[in-house]
Amino acid sequence: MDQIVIVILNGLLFASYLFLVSAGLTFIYGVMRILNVAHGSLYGLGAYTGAWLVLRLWPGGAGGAGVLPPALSYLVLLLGGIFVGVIVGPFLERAFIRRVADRGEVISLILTFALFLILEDVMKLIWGVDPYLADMPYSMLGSINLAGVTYPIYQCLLPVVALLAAGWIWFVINRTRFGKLIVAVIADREVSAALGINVPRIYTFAFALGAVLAAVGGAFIAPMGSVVPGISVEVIILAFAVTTIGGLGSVPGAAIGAILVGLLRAVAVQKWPEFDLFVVYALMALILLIKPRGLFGGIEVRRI
Amino acid sequence: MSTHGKPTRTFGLPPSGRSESGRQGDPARRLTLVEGPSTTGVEWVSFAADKERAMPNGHRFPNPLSILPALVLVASACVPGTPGAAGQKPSELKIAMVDFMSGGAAKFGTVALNAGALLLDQFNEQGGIGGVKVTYQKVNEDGPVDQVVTNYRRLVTDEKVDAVIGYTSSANCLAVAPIADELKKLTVIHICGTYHLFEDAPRKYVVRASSHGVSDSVASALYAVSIKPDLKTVAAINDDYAWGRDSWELFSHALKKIKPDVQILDDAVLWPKAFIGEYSAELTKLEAAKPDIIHTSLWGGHMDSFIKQAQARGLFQKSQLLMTTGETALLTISKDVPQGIAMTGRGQYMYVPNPEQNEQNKKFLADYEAKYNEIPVYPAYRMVQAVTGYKYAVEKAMKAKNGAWPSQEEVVAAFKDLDFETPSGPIKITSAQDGNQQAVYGITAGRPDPKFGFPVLDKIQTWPASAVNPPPGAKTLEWIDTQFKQP
Repeated sequence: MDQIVIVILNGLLFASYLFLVSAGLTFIYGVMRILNVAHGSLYGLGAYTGAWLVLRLWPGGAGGAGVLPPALSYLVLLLGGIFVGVIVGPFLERAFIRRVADRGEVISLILTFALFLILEDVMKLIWGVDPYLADMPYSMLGSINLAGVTYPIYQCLLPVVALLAAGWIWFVINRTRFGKLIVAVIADREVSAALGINVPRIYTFAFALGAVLAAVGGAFIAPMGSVVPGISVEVIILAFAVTTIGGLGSVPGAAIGAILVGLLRAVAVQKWPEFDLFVVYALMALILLIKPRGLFGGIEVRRI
Repeated sequence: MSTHGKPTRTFGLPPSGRSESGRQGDPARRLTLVEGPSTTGVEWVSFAADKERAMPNGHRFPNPLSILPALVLVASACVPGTPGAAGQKPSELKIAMVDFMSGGAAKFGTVALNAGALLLDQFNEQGGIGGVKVTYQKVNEDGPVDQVVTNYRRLVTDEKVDAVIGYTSSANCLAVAPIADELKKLTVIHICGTYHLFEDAPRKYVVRASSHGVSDSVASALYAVSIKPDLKTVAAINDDYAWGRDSWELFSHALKKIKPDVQILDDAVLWPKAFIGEYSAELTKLEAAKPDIIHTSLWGGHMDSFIKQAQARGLFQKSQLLMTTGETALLTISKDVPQGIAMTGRGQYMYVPNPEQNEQNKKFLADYEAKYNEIPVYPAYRMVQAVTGYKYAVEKAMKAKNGAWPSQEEVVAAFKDLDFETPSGPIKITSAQDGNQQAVYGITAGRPDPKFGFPVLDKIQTWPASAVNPPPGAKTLEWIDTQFKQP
């Protein structure tokens, strides 16, 4: 019994990590049909910004000489992530991605890959190659005992952050005027433009929203470990696997994909640790064989 | 680096302020686009600078300015007296140092490149190697293996370097070694820890100036038995690629040999995706398995993440963690490294050999700290071994020729059975061109280092090179299974 509880807990913890890194990727694809490889960089920028702010504002950790109360670090992480997304996202979209919007998915794929490589170096130029360990928000909360296993409380809050992110996307799409416009643009870009919707602006907003998701994800995951050059790469590969399983362009798909991968990996680590890595890609291959467009792919894609 | 007075361009927000050691002026954390000691010719420096800009992505964007110096170089290669003319002293020695400058291992690589630059600058101040001034460039090892090989070819054929020193990744050194033999270029490996390098094929132009991963692994087994004499159960977490797989294989074989009754908890021998940095499921498993010892060869940034996450779980109170490359955490996590982790820096750890008794280590520590304002961790020592070894081999070969300049083949021959002193202690290059040195392990104590704040290592044990390295020509696994024993 305990085993099942542990597997489900671990699965959900990893799933929330996966959802945070892949939701923005799939959202941008859903709206703009752009497979944004630079998504990983936005995650990395968010992680670096978050870690840097925490180290800057609370130099000695929770008990150190920080001016602000340590509890504010969570707000700082959130705002840092939003800031990065709001600044960098629209810039990338306006300066680069928009210019190749009509040239097909391959060109935008190559362009965003180029941006990914450039941003990797930009991060090195800004923050150097030293690892950033800003674990104060993570360590500060301590840990709790669940089913005989110690879990850091911070990590248990990740599913909450993931749920909030999912809820926020749902709210934006289904309950706001902007969401209705997005749905219209997805359904038919030309008709939407003819009806007076400023399509390029919708694209900018949508891209910014995806960028914010990535950067906030990065900022909240940063305290769990070491922020080093190259973190963007590790993330983007997993995010692609998750979104492919769920169906590119579908946010519920990303959620289901994340939960499936998370649970399966948790089972593998408990039962067959040799297959820790194998199961993720085996699941992806299997789903692609049965549903080449992923679980929520195809027509569902257009509804996001 | 930038302290040479060469024009440098640095970018950077103010540093975190996290460290009390005043990183504001730390040259290591700034990206320097122009490299090279002040003694180098202008063309070489500017050429290297161009490359440094292009390397991190592995793409060279042709720049009109870069062609000019290239032409100068090509032209100068035709002038007598440049490297290659046998017997005659070259006008300069060109060395390429290769290590990671981007990606997760960038910190790891930068430390090594810094140490190499420091040492070569000192050699130049003392007249160079064999009386010849050295120019050097730093080259990025990051990128797919084929790109690393292409870069190696370019260094040898286009830039006509005299020697290539470097390669951290096992995949890269294995790929580069046959090319070195094909192009007949002396290549000194500084870190790459795979035992397959010399075991799978004889190498003509490749030398390794440090012990390979076997000494870490068998010494970790010796240390495990030493600190936990009643050791019963073992679990592990290793990256799912060659390095992790090899490390576990060597460690588990060695442990089985010296303590046959030990139980390996097969379902807690974990293989996370390499470099992933998120270990919640694995940590749960390790915690539930309650092994006496957890073996790991995770390294670099994701190792730091593992330590942090394991600490939050209180894992270090429940099981003894044994890290075969843990020593870099003393620099990266510094004062926050938890108490009670067993670790090594492959053959040496800052205070072993004791700087109070070892003049070379004392001087190296002082010089490195003065220049880079941080502690040198083991990649730095490995680079020092390779660079020093190269100097000694060249000079030994010259001596054998009564001062005439040796060919590369003669330098390789001089490497064989070369014994030399380094800040890491004595190094022996075997007749198989592989390095042997002692092994060292210790446990992080609660006691902080008075100057840098990291927890110093206690319960230090060392083993002589002969006890932890297979003899030349032996097959490593066979050696462990048959001859390896507790000294």
